[in-house]
Amino acid sequence: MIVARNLTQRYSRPSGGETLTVLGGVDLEVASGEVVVVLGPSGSGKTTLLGLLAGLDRPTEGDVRLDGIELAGLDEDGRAQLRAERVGFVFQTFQLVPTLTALENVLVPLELLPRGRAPEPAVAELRARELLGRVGLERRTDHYPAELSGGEQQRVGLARAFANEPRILFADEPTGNLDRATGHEVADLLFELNRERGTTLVIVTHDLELSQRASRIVHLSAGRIARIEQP
Amino acid sequence: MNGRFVLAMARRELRSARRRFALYGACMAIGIAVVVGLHALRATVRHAVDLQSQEMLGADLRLSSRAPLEDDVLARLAALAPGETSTITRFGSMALVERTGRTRLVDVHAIEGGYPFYGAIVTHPPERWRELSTARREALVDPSLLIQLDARVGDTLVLGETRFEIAGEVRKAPGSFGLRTQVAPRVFVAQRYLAETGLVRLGSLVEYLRYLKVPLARLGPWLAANEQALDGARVRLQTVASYQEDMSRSFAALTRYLGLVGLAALALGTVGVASGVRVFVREKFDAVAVLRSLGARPRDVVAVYSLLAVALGAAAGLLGVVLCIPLLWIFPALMQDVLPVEVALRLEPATIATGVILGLGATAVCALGPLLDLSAVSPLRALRRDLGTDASAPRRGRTLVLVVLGLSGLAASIWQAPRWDVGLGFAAGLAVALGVLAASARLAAQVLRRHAPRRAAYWLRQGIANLFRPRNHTLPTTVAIGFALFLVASLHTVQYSVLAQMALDSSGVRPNLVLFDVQPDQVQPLDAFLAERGARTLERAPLVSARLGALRGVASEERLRGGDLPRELRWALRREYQLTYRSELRDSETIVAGQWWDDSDDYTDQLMPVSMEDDLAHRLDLVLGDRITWQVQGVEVESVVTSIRKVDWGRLATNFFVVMPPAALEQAPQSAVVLAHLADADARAALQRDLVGEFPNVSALDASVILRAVDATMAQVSTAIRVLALFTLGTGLAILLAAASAARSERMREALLLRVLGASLSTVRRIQATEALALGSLAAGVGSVLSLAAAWALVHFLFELPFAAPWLDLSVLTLATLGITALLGSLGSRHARELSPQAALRASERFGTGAA
Repeated sequence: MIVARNLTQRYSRPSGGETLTVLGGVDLEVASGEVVVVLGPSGSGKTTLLGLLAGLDRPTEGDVRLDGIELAGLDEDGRAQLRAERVGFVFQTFQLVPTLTALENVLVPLELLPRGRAPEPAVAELRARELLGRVGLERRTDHYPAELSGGEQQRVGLARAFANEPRILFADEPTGNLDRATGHEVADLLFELNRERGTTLVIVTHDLELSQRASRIVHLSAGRIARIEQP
Repeated sequence: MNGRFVLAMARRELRSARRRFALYGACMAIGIAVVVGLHALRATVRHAVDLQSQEMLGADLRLSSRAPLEDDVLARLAALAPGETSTITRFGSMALVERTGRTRLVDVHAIEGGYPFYGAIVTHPPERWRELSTARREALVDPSLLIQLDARVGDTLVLGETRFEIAGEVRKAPGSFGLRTQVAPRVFVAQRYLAETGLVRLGSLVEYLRYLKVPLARLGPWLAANEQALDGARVRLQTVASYQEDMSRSFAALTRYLGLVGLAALALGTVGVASGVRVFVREKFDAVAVLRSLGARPRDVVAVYSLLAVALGAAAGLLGVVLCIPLLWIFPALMQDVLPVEVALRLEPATIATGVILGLGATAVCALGPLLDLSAVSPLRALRRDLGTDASAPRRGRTLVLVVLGLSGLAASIWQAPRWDVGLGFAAGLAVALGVLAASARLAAQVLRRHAPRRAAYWLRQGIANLFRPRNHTLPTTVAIGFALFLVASLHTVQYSVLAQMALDSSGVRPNLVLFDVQPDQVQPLDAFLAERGARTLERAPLVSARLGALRGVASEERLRGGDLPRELRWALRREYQLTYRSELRDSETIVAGQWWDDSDDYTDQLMPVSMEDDLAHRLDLVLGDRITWQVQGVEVESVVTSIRKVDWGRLATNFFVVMPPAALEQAPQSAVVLAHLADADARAALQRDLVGEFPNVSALDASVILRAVDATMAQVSTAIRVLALFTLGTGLAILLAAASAARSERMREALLLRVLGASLSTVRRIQATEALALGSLAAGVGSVLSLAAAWALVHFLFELPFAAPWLDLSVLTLATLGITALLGSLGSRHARELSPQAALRASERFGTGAA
């Protein structure tokens, strides 16, 4: 499902001078339906790796194949279309659009689908409501993010992530901003939804408990894969 | 492009930002209202002129000349075979009302024939116009004459040596509008009594008018065949079409100047909205990054916000059109004396379209840069806020935006201005003013950053620091409010200086009485007459009427026949000149080239030296040594340009375009103009009354009358400008509200945090008041200093007058601006002050997660 070869990312400092290597020659393969957790301390390159795998950024060197498609061969619009059709995201800081209600936030990925694949507005709304019901927010559909608790916001984030029925889901510290109990609930929901829909899941976290629920754990250190283990 | 997504997102964004957008719309709508309001007024006046011009001219063709028509011209007119002809002999004269003993310079119209052929002259009592030609020595007068001379219908009016009975007042006559009649009200009499009055003598300033009723089919070919010959004979022709054009053009020029003030308001609104939109867009970066990570393409994102910009622009344009409706009511009332016609106001589709186009244009200007920024937001920002925090469009794109902004500002100025060079100057002036304001704001922020009080109370330090901390709104507020104050204050100061100078001119030992049409044999008796009444003769200048016969050996007629000459040159070649002669140079004159003559020379067998005014010399393309032939009432006088003078036309003095030595013109038929001074107003009135009896042909003009007339006219135009400036101030305040609203979430969060950390309500209040007051002081201070500088430059260089500042008015204006700015600025985050710390904590959490 995902094949990354020699992924390298370097940034030059704004002041000039030396460049900073955030990720250095990472090779990684993720099979369809697999749940992979990327573990590592802060600054180890986890988020950079996630961004490159999802096509949010271009690597300095190396390449990524996502669902059989070479990302290097796609321009900005092509990568956006790939994300709209096949990728879902869950963010640490929820990243809901503050000016949209919960329902509208979930609708966005459906509205971004290309013509022909996008459901009719009524169908889209029904699906969004179902998903919000699935995460227990059927009564909060018209609420704005500012009117929801952190846990509720992340549930909306989950509903949004699954709205376009992605083949691959990327989650960046999905429980990082939540208390332990709420984090548990959200993680349970994430894995349940993932199981139901057979999605490939890549999670970046430093939550060891969460990593125990993966099929594979990739340990990242100083921008390189230190080891890969199975829990 | 994903249309469904774009539409849905634009609708949702609009919903959440409607209050802010309403403020932005209002900022631009005010300027648009002024521009389209004047546009509509211009269109309405043009329409009214088109409809009423035949009635305003009163005929199909009007001929005017400074001398009775020559036989050749009369023969050409006979060939035209007009249906009807009417003549008016028009000149200035003194009028005396016997019963009240009061006198006034009047504009005498001696009429023969059935003028007007179109439209009607409305008199009170009614129908007196038709009886004027048959009645015995009756006069109809402008209503202002009755008021000024304390006269009434039935009184006897003395004109020269004839007594007329005032038979009624003229309430409405073709082509009359207030301004003209303020200096010299009109008196209409039958032409058959003209000779009896003894007022028209050789050398008198008289305009001979002839009105004709001619079928249009005959008029066109006749004009084509005869226009040039009549031009050569110095006969000015006016048809209904040319009258329409003249009227529309002169009014359009005035409204276009006023429109520049509107454009300034629009520019100000645009600047304000642009800064607001930047803040708005900056707040959208996170949301855009999320949308991009979810699969939105850059063009989808740009389309969402472009659609919002289009909606904002169209709404601002339409709101501007709605706001211009009250202006359409106010302006004709304010400018009734300068409106050439009665207007019925209407809103045309073109006006609405202009409003919408202006709105869209202004919004495009505001949105172009921020849209470029949005298109460059990286989706990676959704994961890492430290990356791409300040999404900046590529440098080339920024340069392009700056070029587009500059060009659109320039295009709008040139479109609105009466002339392209005025538009260019206006755009440059605007750019300089905005640049100075922006630079001042930046400088003030830097100075405060370096020299902020470090030992002052916490609230004072914090309040002042808000002026230079990141995301401050020092720049937009200073520019918006400073610019509005700059406009209002500089206009007021210029008007004050001009009026102060005129008041000065009419006091002291400057001339306050102008006597003209003095015949050579009246010069000595008049001097004695003035001296007897305590008046001091200050200047006396002989007037000799002449025409330009030839320049450098080429006859003027030949040049006029020669084809396409510029309008100004044609006028200069054709006009009648009032020449004077004297030995000495006046105080108001400076030689810029050549030399003044030596009076000891008698110029026997030589060319006569002539001194030309520099503008006229430039217009006629004259240099020292050029030969000019003058036609002085049938006699040719050969002259050579020996000097070129600069003349200070602003002084109440006998200034002339052309001066020759006495030897050249002493023997020519002439009259004289005398400038005198008599301090006491009653004594001046008595002198004018006696003058009518002793020198019936001599006219007197009291300078205070001119002062009052100019004052009244300036008051009308300046009131119109002030109304527009108030709109500008309104724009400034709307911008201030918008800026406060843009910074609201930021300030709110700070205030809440301070409350949570233990700041008392009064500390929060003091911090915000300090910031608002400091901001207000900066804006008002910079605006008022800039206005003084601009007003000084205008008064000194353009009007060439001494500068006088209305310090009290300026202080009040500056303090009022400061007060309003401070008040509005401190309103921004009053909610934060009203919340309890518990509620504040909750709200702070909410703002922390959803401030975008």
